[in-house]
Amino acid sequence: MTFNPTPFSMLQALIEWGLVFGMFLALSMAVVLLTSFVVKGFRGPVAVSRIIGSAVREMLDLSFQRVAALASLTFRESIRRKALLVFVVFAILFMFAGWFLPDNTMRDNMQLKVYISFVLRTISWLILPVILLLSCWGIPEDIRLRSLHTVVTKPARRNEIVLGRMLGFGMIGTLLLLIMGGVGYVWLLRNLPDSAREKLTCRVPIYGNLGFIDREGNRRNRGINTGDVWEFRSYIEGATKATAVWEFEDITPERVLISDEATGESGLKLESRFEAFRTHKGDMKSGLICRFFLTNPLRETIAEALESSDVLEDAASSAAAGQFGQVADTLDELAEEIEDESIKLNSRDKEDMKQAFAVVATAITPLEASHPEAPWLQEFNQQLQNLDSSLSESIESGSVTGLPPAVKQLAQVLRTHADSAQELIVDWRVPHRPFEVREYRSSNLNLVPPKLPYVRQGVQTEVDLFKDIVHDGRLRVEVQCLDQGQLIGMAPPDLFLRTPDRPFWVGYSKAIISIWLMIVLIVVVGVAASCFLKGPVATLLTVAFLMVGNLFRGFLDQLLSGELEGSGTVESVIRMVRHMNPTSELTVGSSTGAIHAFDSILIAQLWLADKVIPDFSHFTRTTEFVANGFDVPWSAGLLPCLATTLGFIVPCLVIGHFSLKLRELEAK
Amino acid sequence: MSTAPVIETRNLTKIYRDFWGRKKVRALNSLSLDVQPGEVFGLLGPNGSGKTTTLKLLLGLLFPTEGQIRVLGEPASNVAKNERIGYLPEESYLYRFLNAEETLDFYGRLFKMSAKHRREESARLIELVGLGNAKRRQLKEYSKGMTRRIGLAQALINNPDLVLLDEPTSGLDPIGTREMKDLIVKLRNEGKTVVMCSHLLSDVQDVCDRIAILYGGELKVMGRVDQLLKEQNETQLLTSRLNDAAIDEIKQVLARHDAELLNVDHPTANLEDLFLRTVHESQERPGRRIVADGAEDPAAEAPSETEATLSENTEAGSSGTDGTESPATTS
Repeated sequence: MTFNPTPFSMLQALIEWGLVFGMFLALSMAVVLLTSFVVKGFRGPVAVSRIIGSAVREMLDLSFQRVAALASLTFRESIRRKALLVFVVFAILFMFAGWFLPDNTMRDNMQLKVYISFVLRTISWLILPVILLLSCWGIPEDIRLRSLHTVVTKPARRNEIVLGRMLGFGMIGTLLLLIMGGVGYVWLLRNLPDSAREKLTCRVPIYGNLGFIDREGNRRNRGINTGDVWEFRSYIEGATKATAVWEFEDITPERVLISDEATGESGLKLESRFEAFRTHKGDMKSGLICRFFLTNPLRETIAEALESSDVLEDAASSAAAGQFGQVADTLDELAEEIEDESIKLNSRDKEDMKQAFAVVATAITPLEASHPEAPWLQEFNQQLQNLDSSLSESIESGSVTGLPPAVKQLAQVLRTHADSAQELIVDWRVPHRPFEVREYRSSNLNLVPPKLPYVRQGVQTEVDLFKDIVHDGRLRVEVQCLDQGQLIGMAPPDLFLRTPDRPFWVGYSKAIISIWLMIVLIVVVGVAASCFLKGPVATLLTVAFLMVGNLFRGFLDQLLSGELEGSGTVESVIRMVRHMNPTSELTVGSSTGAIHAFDSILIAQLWLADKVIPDFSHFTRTTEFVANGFDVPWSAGLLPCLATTLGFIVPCLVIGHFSLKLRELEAK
Repeated sequence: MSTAPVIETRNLTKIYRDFWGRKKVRALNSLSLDVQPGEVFGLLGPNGSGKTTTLKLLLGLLFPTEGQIRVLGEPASNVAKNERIGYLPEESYLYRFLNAEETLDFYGRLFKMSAKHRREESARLIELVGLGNAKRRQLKEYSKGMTRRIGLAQALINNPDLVLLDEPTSGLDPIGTREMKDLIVKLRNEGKTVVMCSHLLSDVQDVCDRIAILYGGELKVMGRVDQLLKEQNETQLLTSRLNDAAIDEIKQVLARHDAELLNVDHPTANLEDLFLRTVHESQERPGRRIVADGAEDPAAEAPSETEATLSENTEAGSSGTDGTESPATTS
């Protein structure tokens, strides 16, 4: 998959927007005031402040009736200027598209991808040029023909003119999109091959966080590096301890249990698309063998928590072995040492203890609900809470008087129910049946039943997926490769849980909404540009925004984040001319500093461009979601589109208003 | 009624500059004038004298280089004052894809008029300017005269206190010109203030109370029309027809008073009046014909059937008060 379902942070986006817009306003004011001071002395800034003040007051004085009148005028103008002729091109393309699109020789999911991509891209590529041209030429033509003069000599404010134009062009874009979107949907249903049409759906995945365990059993953030793809996908070795570990959250039966259409059974559906990497040929007729493990390492978790505290680490090994009686003894010893002051606890020790017992509480608490036959768990949790309170008081007061009794009570409960604890607090590692991973990253679907057979200490038993494995809403899935010498590559989106699919029209509609948001953005930018530029130049500027935001934004982000190796513009030229090694130090005498300074200025401008030019990849990504058979997620899909569009409306309105207000409409 | 001037300019100067800020043209130079409420004020001057520049400065379409402007007590840049202003531009810069009804409805909405009020005013103004039969046609199909009429209608949609007219009679036939002038007088009688720019001096003379003549961006003359045009050094008497003896006797009387008889002639009627009278009478008596010296041709007969048919066809297709016009006469 080429898209990254990373959730979008609205708060961060808002902060960044506030900073950039605030900087822009501040810079503009500074330039204007300075210029007026230079030209007119002290009278200049006074006059400018007065003008800007009245312009701001005028901007806030908005009449929706006037805006509606101007929007309606714009809409009517577009219709009467034959903007709907674009439907002719649309109809021609769709009439003959079937000649060129793939037939049944291609796999179903590829057919779906091609057809859906074709429809959505055609719609956006047809509508965008029309809307772009209308938006960029509307006001300049009005000014050229002087029809705007008759409007501004009425009590129509400049912001109303700008907003009215934006709304009008937005309406025409909406109309075009609704019609084309509807026709496109019907066309898909009628023209897709039958087998592909049956698979028209929107999968709703739950993604998890990915971690790795290397061949020695140590935790890692990434697996083996096989090349450039390592930035996104890393690998695990077969027939070793190397494991990929996914952790999913908020897992409930209501959310994830779905029925398999083929078998009628219900269970947890795991869908994966791993990459096979052969270091030797092996058996080419079959894929590489992998296996899922559904794990809940309670003892491991508790042991790690206890080990993290210097005071409690002695109990860690006993907890890992499930010997909770010994854990209780260790706790008693600790209580006595605290009482007779054999050990002195400082604040750090107490904080570590608090954290460790908090992790224990988090691990144990869900068992209370899933095992009502063990009421001692409730008492144990209560004692954990008491201990937590005692630790907090001790940290505040510095006295350890209350600690030993609390620790002893905890130990007492644990000792009394050590056998039950040994039975309930276990490291679950339930294997699921093996599956093959073939070349070209085909999908695998594994249905995990809610009750799994499991052999524990030689005894065949049954494990409840949601009671024993899912812990506090968290599910841990481990993947191992069983073929020796082979590698399996995985990235975070390569494994996900399937929830009940949504109908295709839901995802399709969301893709259409994202196209609509892109149209609105183009309208807003085009109209704003047309307020201070002539039609052709405004068109060029808007097209430049579109091109850079769509095609070069990724490169720009890499350049500014330092991911790309290399130097600034001038330095690069010098290095090329002098055939200098990119890693060697640049020495051109006293000019080095000036070169670096100049390059810094260029980088700063690129940074500004990066902040100002919208990221159009958000909008195209939604097409990828739908074409690949996924629903468009709100946070990673639609919200970025909405935030991007909304973020441009106010600044463009401000720019448009002031551009029209401060220019002489009659000036040639 | 307030006696404060409706328009005040003080040392108004406008200099057009090029892209680099270099001075190109001084269009107005220290223009100071007042327009009083309830008067018809004419702004005259040759091409390039600054008339239209003045109008555009008043409307906020241009910014003054120096000086102050106040319109209806507000600075020219104040948009709110436009609630009480109507403007007819030199060329009717309207949206050509709209028809007359849609045009007036659109501009009415800009004044936040209610739908009912807009409908009523639109209907009244369309009838007033004589476009009742063409109200559903797009403006791009209108002749110049028709476009001027709808331009006037949109200038009056909000019942303004101040009406600015730039070449109001341009493109209108004599009937339309007469109607325009009558309308201007009517507006004045309703207490409105009218400022008009025109090249057609006879039109200005007929309707304006005060005029200002600009030349080279400077104010050269300003004052009441009747006082400016009065020849103080001459006296004009209008009598019934006199014979030669009576004229000789009058010469002698004047000579005794050291006065000179400068001219004796028959007063001439206004060409516009002749035109209107002819058209009116032709409509009533289609066969009537005037010969070269102004006398009626006694040999004129009632029109033949063919002539009557041709006359009816011409009348149906020509520009008249019903606002329709044949393609051949479209300007």
